[in-house]
Formats: sequence, structure tokens, C-alpha cells
Amino acid sequence: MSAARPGEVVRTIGLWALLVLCVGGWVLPQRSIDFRRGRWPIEDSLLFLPSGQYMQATSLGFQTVLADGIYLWSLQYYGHHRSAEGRRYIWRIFNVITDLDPLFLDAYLTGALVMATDMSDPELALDLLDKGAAKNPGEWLLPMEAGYYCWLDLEDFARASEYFELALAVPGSPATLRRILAGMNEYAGDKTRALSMWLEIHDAATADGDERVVDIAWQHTYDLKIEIDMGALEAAIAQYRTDRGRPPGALENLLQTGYISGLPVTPAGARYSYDPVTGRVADPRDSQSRADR
Amino acid sequence: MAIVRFRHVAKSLPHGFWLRKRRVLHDVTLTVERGEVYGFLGPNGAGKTTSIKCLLGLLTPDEGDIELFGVGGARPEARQLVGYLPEQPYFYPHLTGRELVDYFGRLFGIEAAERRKRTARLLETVGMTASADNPIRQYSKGMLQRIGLAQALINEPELVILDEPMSGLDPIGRRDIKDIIVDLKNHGTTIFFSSHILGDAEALCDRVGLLFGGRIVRESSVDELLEEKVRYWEAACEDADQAALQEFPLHARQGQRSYYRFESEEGLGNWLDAVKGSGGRVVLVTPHRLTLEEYFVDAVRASDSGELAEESTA
Amino acid sequence: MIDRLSAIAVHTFREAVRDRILVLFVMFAVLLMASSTVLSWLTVGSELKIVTDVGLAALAVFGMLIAVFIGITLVHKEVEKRTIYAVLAKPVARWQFLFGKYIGLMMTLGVVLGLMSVFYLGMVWSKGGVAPTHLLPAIVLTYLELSIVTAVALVFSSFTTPILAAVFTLATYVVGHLSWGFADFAARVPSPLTRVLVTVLYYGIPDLETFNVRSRVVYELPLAPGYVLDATAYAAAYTAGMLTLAAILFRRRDLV
Repeated sequence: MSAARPGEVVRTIGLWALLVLCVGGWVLPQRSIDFRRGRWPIEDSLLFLPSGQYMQATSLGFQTVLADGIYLWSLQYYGHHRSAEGRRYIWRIFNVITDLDPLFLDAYLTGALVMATDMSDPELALDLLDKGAAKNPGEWLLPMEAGYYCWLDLEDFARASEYFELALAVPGSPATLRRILAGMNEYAGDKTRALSMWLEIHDAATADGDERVVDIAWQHTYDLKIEIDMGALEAAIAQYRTDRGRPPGALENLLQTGYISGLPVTPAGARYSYDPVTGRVADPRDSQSRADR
Repeated sequence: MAIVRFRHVAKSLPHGFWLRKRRVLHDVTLTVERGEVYGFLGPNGAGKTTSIKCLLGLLTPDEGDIELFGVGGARPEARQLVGYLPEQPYFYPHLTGRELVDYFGRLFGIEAAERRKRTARLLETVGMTASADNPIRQYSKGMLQRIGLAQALINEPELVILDEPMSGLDPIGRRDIKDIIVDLKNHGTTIFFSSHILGDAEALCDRVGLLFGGRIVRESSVDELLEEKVRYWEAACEDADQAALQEFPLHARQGQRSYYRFESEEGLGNWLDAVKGSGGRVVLVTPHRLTLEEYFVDAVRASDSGELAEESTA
Repeated sequence: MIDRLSAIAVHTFREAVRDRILVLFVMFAVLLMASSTVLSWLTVGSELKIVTDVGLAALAVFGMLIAVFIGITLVHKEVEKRTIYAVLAKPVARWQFLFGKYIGLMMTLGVVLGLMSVFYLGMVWSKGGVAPTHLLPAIVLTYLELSIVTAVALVFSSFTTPILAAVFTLATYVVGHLSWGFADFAARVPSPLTRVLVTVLYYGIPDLETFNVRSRVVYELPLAPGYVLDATAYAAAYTAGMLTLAAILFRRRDLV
């Protein structure tokens, strides 16, 4: 066979070797560029995100795809920039996404969650949900979410009631909602009671196979459990400090001295982090933002 | 010394919309010696152009082995002393004829002054001096063929490969190209040219290879090929006694003249004796040789059925 | 060898500059830049910004279009018009042919980009009153980006038809500008196999966003020291790699 000439084989190997060499040659500077790029201020990438209306005009009819793209990108971005400064832009991003695709439910829900929990600004979350409810009058999920934020984050039961009533007015809203409303009014401000109610909803939704509600219920359960645990821990630490003039050296000390009956863990099974110098506990999944609260 | 050597070369090429592989060359074995004019003959579709492309490294053979000046044709250095005129050549339409020949001269690494000299001379040789500075897009088919020949000779090649150099030319063009080939041959250049027009080959070639259906079916000198087989002898006589010639096969009669045809020399000899004995006059004796056309027709008939069966399974 | 390369390169350059599509693209680019002046009348205060932004974008976009649409026809046109047979029957190796074509096209792009830049910088200068030297890195990096796009176009054109090659090259251009997302993605996917795959994609796809410093230079923000150097090294290695790949693909291709 003519293909098997030795000179040809050598040349073939040489060419492939050269290719491998080149790959190495471009991966190295790329790593260096990546490193530098990581240092650029984040505003660079967001400064030029145009407004939703403008992008809609220039998207050539592909606004929903564009919205999906920005949504995916925003999740990546959010993962990268967990600093307070980075989050400033989250509101803007989700506004753009929902301008482009007003029926994009997940964008409203995720955006509201990020704003209410990580940015500690439930009012922004309510703004976004209001916008979503206005564009999606047939969805009970958005006013229901708004109701929870009013109830659990703002502890404004009157507003929460209004939102729940709105959600109930939408055809097809779940029957449990009325019980929640009743429960909230009865046990206003009782987080332990709220937690058990959420667990109930979670189980009911699991039985119904309604994944969306399962997710939401789980998220609320998660947050409530952490809030309740941290409240108990903080109270115990405060009591300890009052009694002994200094915070405990470790959370275990509280248990040994009987200030608490057991060491709580997060729903994810992680232990709460504790700083013996300041005497503060924190949610291990995001120590910084919890500490700010 | 052999300049070109094919050994059992086979090649399949994609064909049709689905690009199914079809075997174009089955078994090509041939040798071109230094200084000869080699006619690479075969009907259209026999695989002549495919063979030439394999020789120049434009195609890689699937099987077999090709040498050009003792090295594989895929190596660029093997082509340093080769001139090539493609079939129905087409060149960069935006260049002028002179620019084209000059450009190809650069690809051979010829220096500028030398290039200019040779270009001018070659344009004269192929009769293109007048149109040398017109863009190639304005050239006729014949002019493309001429400029193609000029570019093939820019490196003063030892081997010139011409793919169907006569096709599409007017009689003057054909004569000019023939003259150039004869001239090159007289200067010792080896010429390898393909053609489906057999008359050209009979007049020019020292040796021929006959390609049919992707196989070399015959390789020999032209004389050998033609002398080998005298098909029949045609003879005519006048004023002969018809009775004495009764035993011979009369072919035709025209006035006083009687025409006879003989398959063998022996039959002809007997007839000649008989004519003399009967007082007649022999007015014509002509050997009818097999022409290349007839040779091809024979070859086609012989292998027609077998060939088709093989292609469908390939 | 250098002689042959330069012969092919010069020939390619001369063929490309006579191409009508090139003239058309350059005309469009210049028109777009000029029209940005008209647009800037509509705004208050930021005339210079609009002219600067639109001009840089026009350079990048039309440079890309020229690179793609002339790059993909480089090889195919020669095969289709059968001009390649006479060339490769000369003592020219196939890689020399490809490489010469590439150099010729980069010469063309250099001249075109140079001309457009002179027009553009002149416009910005006359509007702003200061020599806009701060824009030069953006233009240089745009040229480096084009060198990669052209090499990619050459790879695709060495084994497929111009239409497919155009689609592939444009897709590479788009994905190349989003490839930084792959790095984020790789850090987040749980499956190790997917992570390896995404990482390979990240390094395999040209990171064209590297060459986009437009949003920085427009505001005269500094580039990190050594950034242009890194980008140059990246472009050179990537281009060399693509040319090698094109040579591998083209080396034994049958020129039917």
C-alpha cells in the first residue's frame, strides 16, 4: 500500500505532534488571560446590559431565547458574584429577563427568592412578583409567593392576606391555600407553626406530584428551619452571655451546660457555623449574608 | 531509464449524489521510458485523467505504487521537472496570460529575469503573444489550451504530461500542438499524453498504453500494435480470365476491375499466381491493418459484459 | 520555499482585492461609520461615544464577514474551478498552498482593516480633537481575532463545501464569543465526565471574547499589563494549530 511509506508516517506523526504543541501554546496564555479577566471589576459585564425594551426591539423576534440565555447567564453570574456589590445588579438582570419574556414564571420566582433572601430586600421581590402577576393573571403561584414574603420576611400579615386572597381568586388555586391563610391569621408570627404547615404542604404536594409546589414548600421549609434554629441558638447564646459574662467557646458548650436540648443542623444536614469571638452563629451555606441580618 | 512507473494501481472515487465509492482504476501498470512519446489511450471514462491525477499526487491511490523520477508523485520535489497541461484547462480568470505563466514560473522557483525571458519565448511558441496581456476570462477554449501548454513548459520540463491536448481544438490548433510535441521530442523531452482520438496517437507516439475500464489492456510500441494484425488484404485485377479465378472470393466488381479480399497472405499469393497464369493484370494490393479504433471496438466487445457485472459489485 | 509561499500569498492577495464582495463590505463599513455621525446628531452630549462605538463595531463585524466569506472560498473555489490542479502539479506541497493562501488573506485583511481604521480614527480625531491612540489596542486585537477566524474558516473550507464552511465558521464565531460561559459551567456541573468534556470544549473553542476590549478602551480604562501580549501569544498558537489541522485534513484529500 502506498499509504505505508515510512516517510509519510513520520510526516503524519510530525504534524499531529505540531498540533498538540500548538494546543499547549494556546492553553497557557488562555489560563493567564482567564486569571486577568477574573480581576476585572464585574461592572464591565453588566454595565452594557441594555434595557429589556431595547433588547426586545433588537432581538429579531427571538426575545424568549434571549431571555433564556440571560437567565442561564444570570444564574452563573449569581454563583460567581456572591458579594453584596454583585447582587446589586440582580434586580436589573431579572427585570430585563422578564421584560423580554413576561411569561417566564421561573424568572419571577427565582428573582424574587434571590432578592428576598440574599439581598434581604423583600420589597424588591414583591415588585418583581407584582409585575409577574400583572402579566400573568391566570397564575396563583406569583401572588401566593408574594403572600409568603409578606408573612415570613416582612411579617406584614395584612398585606400577606391581600396577596393570598388574590391567589385564591385565581381559578385552579389549591385548596390548601385557604388553610394556610387561616393558619397564618391564627398563628401570626409563629414560625414553628408556619414550619409545620409548610411541611404539610410539602407532603401534600409530594403526594399530588406537583413538583413546583414541592420545590417552593421545600425552600420555605428550609428557610424557616434555619431561622428557627438560629433564633433558638442566638437566644441561648444571649442567655449564656448574660449568665457568664462571655459567649460560649463552642456551640457544644451550650448543650453541655443545658442551654439547649440538642445541636440543630440545617435541613441539608450541615452544622451551623459559630464564631466564638463575636458570639454569632451563621448559616453555613452563606455565612456572610446571614451574619449581616 | 523509466521516468514514470505505475504498478497495479487501483483507485475508487465517490460517485453520484450519495457519494458511493466506485472503482475507477482497477489495475494500471505501465512504464514510460526517457525520451519517448507515450500515448495513453482509451475511450472517455476509461480512467485516463484519474491515472494522471494519481501520478501527480492530486489523488492518492488506494492500492499499488506510482513512481515519478524514482520517487512518489505525492512528493513535491518529484514534480520539479514535470510540466502538466490539465484536461480542458481553466486558469485564474483575473490574470492575463503573461501573468499566469509568470506566476507558475515563480512556483518553480525560477528567477524573475529568467522567467520573463522564458515567458516571452513560450508565448511566442504557442502563438499567444498577441493576446498575452488580455485577461484570461476573455480567452477561447483554444487559447486556454495554448496558454496551458505554455505554462506547462515554463520549467523546461523533462517530462511533459498532457491530458487530452487536442480536444476542442480546430485543425490549425491541432497541427500547432502536434508540431510542438514533435519539437519537444526532438529536444529529448519525454511526453506522456492522453487521448481518445486515436489518429493523433498513431502519428505521434513511440509507444502506447491502452486503457479500458480502468485496466491497461495492452502496452506496446505503435508499430508492433499495428503490424501485428493485418485484418485482410484487398487486391484487384483487370482483364483476368474469370474462370481461372473462380475459386477465389470475389468481393466486388467495378467495370473491368474485380476486387478480392484475403484473410491470409497465403491466399493472396495463390491469387497472384492465378492472375498471372490467366494473363490478367494486378492493379491493386493493399494490406488493411487494424486501426486503433477497431482495436478498441474489439476490446470493448470482448470485455463488455464482464466489465459491467464487475462494476455493479464494486 | 519562502519564494513559493510569497508567490501564492501575493497571488491570493491580488485575487482577493479584485473581489467585488470585498469592495462591497468595505463600502458598507465606511457607510456605517459615516452614518454614525448622522446618528450622533440625534443625541445630546455623547456624539463622540456613538461614533467611537459604532466605528469599532463596524471594524469588527465587517472584518469578520470578510474573513469568513473570502476565507471559506479560498480552497473550494480553486477546486471547483479546477485552477488548483495546475498549481498542485507544480513542486508545491499542499501545506504550502494552504499557508500561502492564508498569508495572502491576512495581508488582504490587514490592508482592509488598515484603510477602514485610518478612516475611522480620522473621524474620531476630527470629532474629539485628540489623537485617539487609546483605541489602537482594540483594533490590533480585532486583527488578531480575525487571524483566528480566518484560520478556522480555512480548516472548514479544507474539507467541506463553502455553505457548510460558512455556517460552521459563523457558528464558531458566535460560540467563540460565549466560550467564557463554558468555564463557569465546567466549575458547576456535577458529573466528572461532563466536566472534562466542557473543559475540553472551553479550551478547544477559540476564546474570541479575549479580543473584545472595546467596552474598556472606549472609556480609556487600562488593560492589564501583558494582556495584549497574552492575547497575541494565544492568537499565534491558535492560528498555528488551526493551520496544522487544515494541513492534516487537506494533505491526503482527493482532488477529484
